Amino acid sequence: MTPSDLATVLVSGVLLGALYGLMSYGLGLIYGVMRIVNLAHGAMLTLGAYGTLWLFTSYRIDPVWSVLLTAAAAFLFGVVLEIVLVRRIRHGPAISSLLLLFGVWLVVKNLLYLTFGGDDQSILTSYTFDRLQLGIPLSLTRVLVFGISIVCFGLLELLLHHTYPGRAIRAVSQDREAAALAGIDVDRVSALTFGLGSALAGAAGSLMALIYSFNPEFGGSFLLKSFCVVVLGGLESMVGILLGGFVLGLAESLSVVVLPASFQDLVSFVLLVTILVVRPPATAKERV
Amino acid sequence: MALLEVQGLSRRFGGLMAIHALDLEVQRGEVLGLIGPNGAGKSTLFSVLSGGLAPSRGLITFKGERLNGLAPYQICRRGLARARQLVRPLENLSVYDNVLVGASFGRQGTSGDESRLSALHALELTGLLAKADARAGVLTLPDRKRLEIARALATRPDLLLLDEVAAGLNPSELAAALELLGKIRDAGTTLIYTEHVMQAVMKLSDRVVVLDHGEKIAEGSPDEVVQDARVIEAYLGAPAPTQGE
Amino acid sequence: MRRGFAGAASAILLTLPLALEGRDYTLHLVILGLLYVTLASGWNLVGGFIGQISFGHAAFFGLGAYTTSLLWLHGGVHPMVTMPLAGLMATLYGWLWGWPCLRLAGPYFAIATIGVGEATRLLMNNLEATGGSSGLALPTPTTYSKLPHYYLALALAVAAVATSRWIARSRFGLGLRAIRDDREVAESLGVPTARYQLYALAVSSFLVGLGGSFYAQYMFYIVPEEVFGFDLSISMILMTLIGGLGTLVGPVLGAVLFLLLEQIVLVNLPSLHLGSFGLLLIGIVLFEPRGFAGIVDRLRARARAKEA
Repeated sequence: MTPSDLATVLVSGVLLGALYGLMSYGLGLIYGVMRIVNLAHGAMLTLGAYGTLWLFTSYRIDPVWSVLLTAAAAFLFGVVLEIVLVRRIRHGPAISSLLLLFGVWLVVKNLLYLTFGGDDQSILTSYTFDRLQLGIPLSLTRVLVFGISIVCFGLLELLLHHTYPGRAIRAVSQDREAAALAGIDVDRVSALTFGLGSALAGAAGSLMALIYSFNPEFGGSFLLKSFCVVVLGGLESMVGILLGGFVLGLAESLSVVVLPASFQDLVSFVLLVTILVVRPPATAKERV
Repeated sequence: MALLEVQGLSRRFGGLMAIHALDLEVQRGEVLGLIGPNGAGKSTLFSVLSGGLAPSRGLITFKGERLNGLAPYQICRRGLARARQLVRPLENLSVYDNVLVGASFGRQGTSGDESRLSALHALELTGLLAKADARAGVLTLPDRKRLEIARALATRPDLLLLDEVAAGLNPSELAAALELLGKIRDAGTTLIYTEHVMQAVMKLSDRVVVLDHGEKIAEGSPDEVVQDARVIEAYLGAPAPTQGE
Repeated sequence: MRRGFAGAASAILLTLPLALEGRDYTLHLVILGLLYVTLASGWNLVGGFIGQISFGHAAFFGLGAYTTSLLWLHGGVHPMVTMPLAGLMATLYGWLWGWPCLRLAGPYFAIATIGVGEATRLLMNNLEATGGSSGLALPTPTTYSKLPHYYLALALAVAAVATSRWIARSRFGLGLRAIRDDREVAESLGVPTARYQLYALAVSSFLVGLGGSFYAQYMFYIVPEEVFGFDLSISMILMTLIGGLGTLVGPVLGAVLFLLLEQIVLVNLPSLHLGSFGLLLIGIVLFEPRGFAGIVDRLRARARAKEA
């Protein structure tokens, strides 16, 4: 493999990594604040992709701008979901939320099948096949996706560290009881968090529509990749998740060198199970 | 030979030394009171002894055998049991089943009949026989504490670690608890128990060990220890135990 | 009373195929139902008895199916002879990832099982050596009767339920229940939790593997999307949930109910089949997490309250 090939592989891994980080952040956020694993995360991603498709085909809205719209819609959906369903089993055993959210995912999937059919969809804009030449040829859409992901992370950083709701979210994720005692409305924060986590997933789904073709089953493998990133990067910091995203992106990119392309998805599964086993996250083991 | 021997035990959590170079000996049949201000490391010590936490350093010998590195269930089977401070009943099992678990698994090679007998005996001793069929999740706190002890007893331990038995109990409940501990001791079980309630310590212990910030600062009979200047200082104004017992 | 009931049930079950002479599709459904009972009972050993929800049990089913099929196709071994081996393969696979993963707390274990299940499906889908995504077609016999398959399915179902019952009543079962409630406490009371969980997983995967082996012999055609599919894993969860997680009668009831529901949906609303599973899951979790067994308990309690 030539140096320029290697460079291409590495760069594409990094470009993808930012998207992976964005995609996974919402999952990690919800777990960090509510200790709930959002199995409907894949549904949010898929909805983001289909939302972008719909806005593009019906209203000619460029996918880059529809990110904002789908994120907003996903936010609302997430908030409603939390208030109507999740809240009821929030304090129950973990499996309740797992099964509930999984049920939501199935329902969403079915609705998408009914509305759009099961065929692969893709979004073809005027610039879909453009390339940038920065020493190595890069796909314009991938660079765009990378850029927007980074911008989103920046906005997220602002939100979480410099606004009241953001700081409330972080407080609850650190210590639920202390936050409640300090006067924070934990219920509201939960709804907000679920909405925000969904919004991030929706935004990521939108961006994915730019570079992948998709069908209603789309969210499944990305859900697992999100878990992988969260487990790799930890829940502590944004940087951690971003790094986790880069690690997965690079791992997948590099794997194409040794594995046939159809096995690429295996990389995330294997990585996930390996990390869980070798270095379980602090909250993954039973408390002592 | 001492029943339990702890040599140079240390346990650290990141930068914090919860237990530091602790030496301790417990003789068979005695009642050892373990006291110290909050955060002294008492519960940590119990966790290490029962296998829930690994020691960072040091050696634990029980009945002449090395305890370091054994799994909690193995330690239990060798005869060291623990009744926790923050009680954790098996909520969905009946009181009887809770105790039966201890009786069936606490010692290797227990037959079904022996387990049932052990379980019933433990329930009787702790006064829970009447509530044997109740679901453990519905018990009141004093009953939960008794269940915690009954469960540990059912494993037929040689050494029983009791973590703050008296916490949260009113005077009459406390008296009953102390009576129970006395019975356990009379039956031949060695006890180490941690306590904040001074009355309980004075009344029951043969010997007392005082911990502060993970280190042993005093050791001796209850009377000796309670007059030790360093102990008083560690507690900083804790009232001297009353004469009334 | 119970003896009489058991006797009657046995009589019915043993003579059923003769009564259904000529109604082939109904017999097929009954056989499917019996298979579901085996699968649900098997899954319940891990999901219900130790409380670890596995989203990847299809991996065992598929492994059983493939083991039997490959030995039959390439080794000429009679499928029934391969059954124990099929179960064994499933068990070994379960131990491979079960040993590190069972230590994980609930949600993480579930996630790990999703990963394992999907990875297995992906692998088998792309492995040309075992037929890839087109699967394996098995030699159909010249004379075909559903009868032997019925009795095999019945035997499996009975074995699965009997095993569950035996475990539930044993000291092993008590230990498992303690583990399900609070693993750390169980460990401190002398229960060898790591080992016990592996045993439960071993029996569970063995049963489900046997089910897969049966399926291969019965359908004569297996395909990774189906036998390793996520849908199948979810079905196993649903079956047990509907009936009552952790109970003995739950998997049996749940399997039957699930079969009926599945048929109703597939026949009348095939395009809503995913969504109806989803709604069912949501409904159960919100309103009666203990499934049918929970409903029965509630009705009984209400009846008792009325008497009092």
